[in-house]
Amino acid sequence: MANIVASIEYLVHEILLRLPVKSLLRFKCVSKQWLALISEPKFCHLHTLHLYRTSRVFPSALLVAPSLSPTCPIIPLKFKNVSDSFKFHNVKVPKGTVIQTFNGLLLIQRITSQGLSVVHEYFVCNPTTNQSVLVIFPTQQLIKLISLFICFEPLKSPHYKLVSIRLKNYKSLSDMTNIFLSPNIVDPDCVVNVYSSETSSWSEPGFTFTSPVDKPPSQNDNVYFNGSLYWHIKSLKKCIYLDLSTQSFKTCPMPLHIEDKTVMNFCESGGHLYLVLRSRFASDISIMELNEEGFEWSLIFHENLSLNPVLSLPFCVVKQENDEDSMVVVFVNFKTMSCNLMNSSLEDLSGYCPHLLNRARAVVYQHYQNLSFVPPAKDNCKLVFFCFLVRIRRDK
Amino acid sequence: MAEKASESSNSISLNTVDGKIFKVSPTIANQMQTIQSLIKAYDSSRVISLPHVNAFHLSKIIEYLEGKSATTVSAVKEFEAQFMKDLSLKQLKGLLIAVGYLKVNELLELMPKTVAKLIENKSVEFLRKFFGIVNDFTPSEEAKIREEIAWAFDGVDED
Repeated sequence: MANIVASIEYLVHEILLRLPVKSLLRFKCVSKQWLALISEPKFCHLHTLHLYRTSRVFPSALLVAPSLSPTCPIIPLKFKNVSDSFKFHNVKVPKGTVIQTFNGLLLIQRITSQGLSVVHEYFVCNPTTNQSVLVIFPTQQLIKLISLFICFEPLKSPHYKLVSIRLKNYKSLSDMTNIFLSPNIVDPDCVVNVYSSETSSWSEPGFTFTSPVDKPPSQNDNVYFNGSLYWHIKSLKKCIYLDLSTQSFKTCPMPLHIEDKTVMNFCESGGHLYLVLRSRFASDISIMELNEEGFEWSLIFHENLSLNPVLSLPFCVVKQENDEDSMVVVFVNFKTMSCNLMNSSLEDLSGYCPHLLNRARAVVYQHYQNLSFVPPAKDNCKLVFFCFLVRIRRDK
Repeated sequence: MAEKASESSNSISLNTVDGKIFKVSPTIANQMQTIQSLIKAYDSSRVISLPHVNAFHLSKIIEYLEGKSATTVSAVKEFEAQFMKDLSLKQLKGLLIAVGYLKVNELLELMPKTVAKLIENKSVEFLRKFFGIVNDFTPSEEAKIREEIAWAFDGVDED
């Protein structure tokens, strides 16, 4: 009989691995045993792998990130033909600004003033499982001067990485004032440190590079793609990337003949890298895709969307398994819309999510719903433990 | 026909819990890991008793193993779809247990996939009944989890 019970447990496990995220969240209520199983990091990772292997690595939803909001609306993408499942729902996030999303994990920056000082904090959050953790930096670093990036590739590892980039020779507030006073003589040496959630620690001492611009590469306009962090640097009209495995900086070629175009957005989706361009004197939008070898760009979309000239920043390109479902999310005529890449048909997303009506301060990101585990910070525990020990000694 | 003859001489008799005897060829029997190990343990001339499998489930498993020999991928897919379509949820559950007990590798991928598809939009109450699980949460504990993920309770099928 024990044999039978074990084989059923195995089969239940196999069934659960094949359920969508939404069903699994609901089935946490079935029993304590199921809650424990569905929350277990190993199960969560296996489930994410299963999800990615069957539907490949395509976004499953759009995440709307209003600034300073403790909730973000999620608009599911997969079930377009089912009438009511296109409804949005809210997820809880640490209050702040979403600065990056990657494979279901969000990086959130929170800036608060405490008395006279301004406190910068970062959080890593999986809004699907409602888990979040405060990023802990080595104490000597001035967080305000750091650009932070998150890299998470479930198919390679269940652990995420954070990449921090800061100017090497500026460590205090007075150094920072110098940057503002004389921006032309900034020492462009940067230090890169990498944090791994596997070991809960930062790589020390990190590695140094000389930034091609006079600041550390910006937190905006960056894309993690294929093991490297990419930036499009507007002032240089160049794409550069930091290969994290070889710890080297390289230049990525730009598309040819785009002198009359402005780069509106630089993004990644479903394992492809995209540049969204707009003609300088017309409202044409073109999307270029980098080929697999990483040397050439090809035009995959070109359309006149009669965009509002001022507020028409495209948010993201969303690649789907079937090319006819891929889209670019744009802001047209004061509305957030999805534009199909195959037939250029526009759909008003605010119909699905009222938040978008008042979109002035919201950004739309592609989103991957998965159960990926965000481990609690270990350093915090150590610190508490340490204080506790000190207190015991004093009491003696 | 020659194959049939050799089948009857080597065939293995399986006795289900409801007393029906099935004669299966070694090729079919070898696809059930549990029977494989039982054959090794016992003298092959003996009838193997299966205390946890009834005639309906065993006949279904044999039907699947025999029918799956289609040549093209699409034909196999079509056969699998038809095979699963004919089963009610209750029958599927019994079959799932039989497949798990007999360790039919061929079905260990298809069964969970089919059951997952059928239960993905079901309610928590339906799941408890289906798997025979007792709710061990207190009402307030359950309410707390439900509140946190309220959106996951939208669009659930009626039981």
